[in-house]
Amino acid sequence: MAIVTANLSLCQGYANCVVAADDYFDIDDDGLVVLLKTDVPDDQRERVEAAARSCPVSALRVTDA
Amino acid sequence: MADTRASRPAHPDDRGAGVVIVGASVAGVRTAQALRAEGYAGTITMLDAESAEPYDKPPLSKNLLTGAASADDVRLFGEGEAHELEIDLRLGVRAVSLDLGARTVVCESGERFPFSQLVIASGARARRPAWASLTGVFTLRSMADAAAIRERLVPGSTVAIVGAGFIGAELASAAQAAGVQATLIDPLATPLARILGSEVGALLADWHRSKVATEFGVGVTDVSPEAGSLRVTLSDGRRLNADTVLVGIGVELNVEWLLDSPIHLDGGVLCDASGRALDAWGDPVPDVFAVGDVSRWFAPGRGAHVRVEHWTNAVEQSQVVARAVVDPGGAAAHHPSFAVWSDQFGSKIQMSGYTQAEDVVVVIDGERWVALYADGGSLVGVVTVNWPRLQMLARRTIASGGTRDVMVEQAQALREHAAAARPGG
Ligand SMILES: Cc1cc2nc3c(=O)[nH]c(=O)nc-3n(C[C@H](O)[C@H](O)[C@H](O)COP(=O)(O)OP(=O)(O)OC[C@H]3O[C@@H](n4cnc5c(N)ncnc54)[C@H](O)[C@@H]3O)c2cc1C
Ligand code: SF4
Repeated sequence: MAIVTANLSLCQGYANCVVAADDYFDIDDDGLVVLLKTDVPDDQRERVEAAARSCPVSALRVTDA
Repeated sequence: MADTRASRPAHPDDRGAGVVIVGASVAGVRTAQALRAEGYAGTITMLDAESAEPYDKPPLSKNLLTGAASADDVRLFGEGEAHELEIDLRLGVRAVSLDLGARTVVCESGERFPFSQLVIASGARARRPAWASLTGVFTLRSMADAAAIRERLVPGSTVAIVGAGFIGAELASAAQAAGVQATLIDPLATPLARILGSEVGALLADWHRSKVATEFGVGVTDVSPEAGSLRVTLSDGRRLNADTVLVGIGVELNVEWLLDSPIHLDGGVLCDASGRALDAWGDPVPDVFAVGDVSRWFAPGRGAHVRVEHWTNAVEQSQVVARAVVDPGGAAAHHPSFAVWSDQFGSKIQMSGYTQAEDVVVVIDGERWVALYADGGSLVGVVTVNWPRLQMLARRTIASGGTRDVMVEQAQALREHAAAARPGG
């Protein structure tokens, strides 16, 4: 099990994460990422890590819970 | 989906030489990271001609130039990450040729790197006109270029920027923010029309004119030194003086090291829709892939090979190639999002999809606006300025094949909502 966290001071609202995993990420009207959930089961980890890699400002991190 | 990290067997070739990646910029680094995330257990060797720790390029014309970010903020690997992922990073090593028979990359130093799979990620360099070697003239592609330009952005000085594409406009924006008097020059009257169509191109050209001194529709025919500064000659005969000239007129591809190989070079390393490099007969060259700016993949939605020189595309491709390396039978066709962003003059411009379609509707809401491009009623492309949420909704609509009219209604609803909520609006 892992968790995903977002650094809102880095987020630029590029929304690449939303496109990669829209069950985990959304963006609000101000263009900041919203985490829809934070728990990342093992079978989802690869996908959520791919979403984190797609963020142009490395604002997302997947870490062991 | 099973936990591939633990359960996926190593690739049969893992006993061998492993993956060699040439180029440690975003395409190469994200490929290496994706390979490990996909469970690849073999050796990964990554070469780059530059000796700087791998860094990201978009900030070079944005907050690195304004000083809001430092070199440490733009590294592509986190602290200790390359080591943790067991990536053998060879910096300051330039590939000079590819011996495909011996499955070996040959380097300038004479070193040879044998591979089981090769990932070509050697990208591009800035195109330099003949006068680019003059003192005070700069192009921007590397961290060193950015540092040199930053030193020139002295308050009160003057800079002429040649080329009003995204990088040129970002340079103009950073120069102005530094108190430098900038002039943005482009031979086209509507510089962005080529990528955004004439209507949206004109909107942005007007916007640029409102932000910075522009010379659109005139080219630069020569730059020459004059009494400690530079004289810029325009195609209509006029002359401008500038302390610094910055040039953003496109790129040349780093493909020289591939010239003697069977890999087909045609406006980039020609690839199929999952990044396998092709030979002159259009057949995949076994175990050779290309990603990022240097590559020209087949785009199924367009029925053509397309070279894209943008960040998100490089990352999308790296994921596809990592999968293809780990599971050669399962290579899936990649449908690119063509997503691009540019930060300039305090605004955020974002686009995705096909933004050259003739049929475009623009919805303006004060400082933010959206252009929605359609083909036969379907939404195919979007440009937003300062409207990230709409960009995201439109990207989803494009991916799911939705109609443009629905997006126009959504944009209008959001706009009316904003207008109603604004006091006096
Ligand atoms: C100033 C600037 C601003 C940008 N802003 C944006 C933006 O806002 N949004 C966006 O979407 N895109 C932007 N881009 C484009 C984006 O940065 C590129 O698409 C991206 O860098 C492409 O990555 P790449 O890894 O394919 O190639 P590159 O970044 O070109 O990297 C290629 C690497 O290969 C190395 N190399 C080349 N030849 C050899 C060789 N023979 N042997 C060994 N190593 C070699 C080079 O040293 C380099 O490190 C910008 C680019 C620049 C320059
Ligand atoms: S991709 Fe990164 S910058 Fe973009 S919305 Fe997600 S977290 Fe924010």
